[in-house]
Amino acid sequence: MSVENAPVVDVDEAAIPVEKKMYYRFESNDKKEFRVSELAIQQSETLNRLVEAMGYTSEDVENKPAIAIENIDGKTLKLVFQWCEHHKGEAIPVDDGSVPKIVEIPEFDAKLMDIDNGLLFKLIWAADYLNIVQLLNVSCKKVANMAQGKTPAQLRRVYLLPSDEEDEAAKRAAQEAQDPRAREVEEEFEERKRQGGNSFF
Amino acid sequence: MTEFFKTNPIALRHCLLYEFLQGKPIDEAFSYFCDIVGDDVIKKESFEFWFDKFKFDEIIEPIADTRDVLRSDKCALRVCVLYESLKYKQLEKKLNSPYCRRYSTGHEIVHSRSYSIYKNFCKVIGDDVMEYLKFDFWFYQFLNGDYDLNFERDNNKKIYELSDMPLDVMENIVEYLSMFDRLSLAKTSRSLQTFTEDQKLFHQTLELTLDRYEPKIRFDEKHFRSYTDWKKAILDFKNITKNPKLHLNTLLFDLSIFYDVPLKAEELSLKPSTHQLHVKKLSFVGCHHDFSSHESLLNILSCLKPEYLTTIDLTLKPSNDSVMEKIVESEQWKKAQYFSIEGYGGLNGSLRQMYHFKEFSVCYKRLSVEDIREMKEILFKSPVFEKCSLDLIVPVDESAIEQQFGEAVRGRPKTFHHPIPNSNEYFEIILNDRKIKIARKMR
Repeated sequence: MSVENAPVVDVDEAAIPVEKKMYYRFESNDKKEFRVSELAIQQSETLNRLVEAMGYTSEDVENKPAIAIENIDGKTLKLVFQWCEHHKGEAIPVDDGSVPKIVEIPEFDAKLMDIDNGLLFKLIWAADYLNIVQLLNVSCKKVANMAQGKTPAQLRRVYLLPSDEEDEAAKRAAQEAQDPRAREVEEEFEERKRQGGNSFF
Repeated sequence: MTEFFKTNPIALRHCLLYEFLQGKPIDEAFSYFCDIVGDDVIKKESFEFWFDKFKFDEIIEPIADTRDVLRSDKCALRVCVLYESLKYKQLEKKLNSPYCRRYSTGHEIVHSRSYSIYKNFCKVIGDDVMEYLKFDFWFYQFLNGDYDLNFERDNNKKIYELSDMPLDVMENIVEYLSMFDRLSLAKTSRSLQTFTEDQKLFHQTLELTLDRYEPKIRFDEKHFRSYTDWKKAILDFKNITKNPKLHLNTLLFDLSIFYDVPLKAEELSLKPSTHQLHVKKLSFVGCHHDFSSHESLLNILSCLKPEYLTTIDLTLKPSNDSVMEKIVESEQWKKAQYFSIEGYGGLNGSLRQMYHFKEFSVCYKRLSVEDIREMKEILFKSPVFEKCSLDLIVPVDESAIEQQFGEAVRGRPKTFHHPIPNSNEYFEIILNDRKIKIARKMR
């Protein structure tokens, strides 16, 4: 098991002198461990509720096993926590859908998201799962920026979008997987047609 | 990097072939190559030897396509991506130098650099040799300094793509796309078309200019698309306005130089959509030469959400009375607050049709005594009316005005005051030969 004991972002200890800061330990699905400050966790609604419900003391954090995040890998989780540490204490935006959303990507976020598309989509998936509103906003904005000025063919290529035919083939495959009889019926129908029968019945 | 190429002579040769394929003159190619891989990786003689060999081999034993040497070898292709990533690093150094012009954030190299480099890769090596997603993966591997060419991705691990994202994430992404980018996305597949047509879309302005020679659609004053065929412009416009969640501050139609073209057929009529659009202000410039624009105006107006539409600005030739009657009867007209019309004779009929507005500005033929009586009866009793301006084709009869409004204000011979009962407000009426201005004022 590899353990990352240091916090994901260096914190200037002298800057917060009075209170002892509270950290939590999390573990990714590939057993990477992270220590994340309480304030950073507040950026994630999901994790924040989780730690509130657990009500750990500092001793509990050290003595009990790290909190497992089953469906996110270490590489992605590291990015997520780096982002949370950098933006800790910032207000979480509320969107009621009535006005256009204006999102700027700060330099730190742009550097953090300078990653391949596969990892970027994992990061988005994680931000959505952990409900980190602003991380989801900036990462989605990055994906949208990549679409700027592209033709439909280029968009298909960049985002691996299936065409109508592929969409239908996938649907058929899924249906058949559910109901193997469907294929048999279809084959029987084809066979009868070959034999010259006009009607299936 | 020098070490890497010294221990991987085959990789170096693949890079050389990749550079050769780009067809630069040999001296230029050599100095460029050294900038990218390092100065002491290859000597000039060797470089020339290989370039000659590529050229010579091609002459004595022509391979159907020299590119096949790279295409058929998985590792060779990865080396080409590596070469592209090194080229990019070089470019990045230049971009960061203070003497280099900065690319704007709208430039492809900034917002989707791996794709912009992929395009060059395809140009050299051919389309469909490597999928973009694979290219993107390797490009970032190399950019981050991981030069293991034999690294294999774990096939059991899921690779995330856009279509794997939950719906709320898709909504979040589409929300940032402009209307043109949404049009492109909608054209990729039916399911995405249905999806994008139903996503919130806010824009300041949307303009459709129909011109027989250069029709165009423009939004937010800076993004525009020109068409060779005005019918296509109408079609795209209809696709944009299909979205029931489109919100616009201003919708502008300019038909000023669009004439002799029938807009009657249903598929070409200027009726934007079947649902009612969220538009705050409608600006409509009719054709200079005929009356058919009135029909279009009526069509458009009926597709805008009453009450949400607060302002109607028109530039129109003399009106077609029967259509104009329908317009003033519409809910959209009755619930609007601001109205203006330019163009002489733009409005026939009575001024009464405008007395529910907060503000209006019109051109009017002749102001009769009857009009003034009505004004006092209806307009001056409106709780919302703030101001208006009337341009008169026939000069006003001042004595008739005086009879109705009483004496002019002392020292200001063309100004009249009309008190509003039970309030400390009054209307100030200013006559100016062919113009009357009325405004609500406080005492």
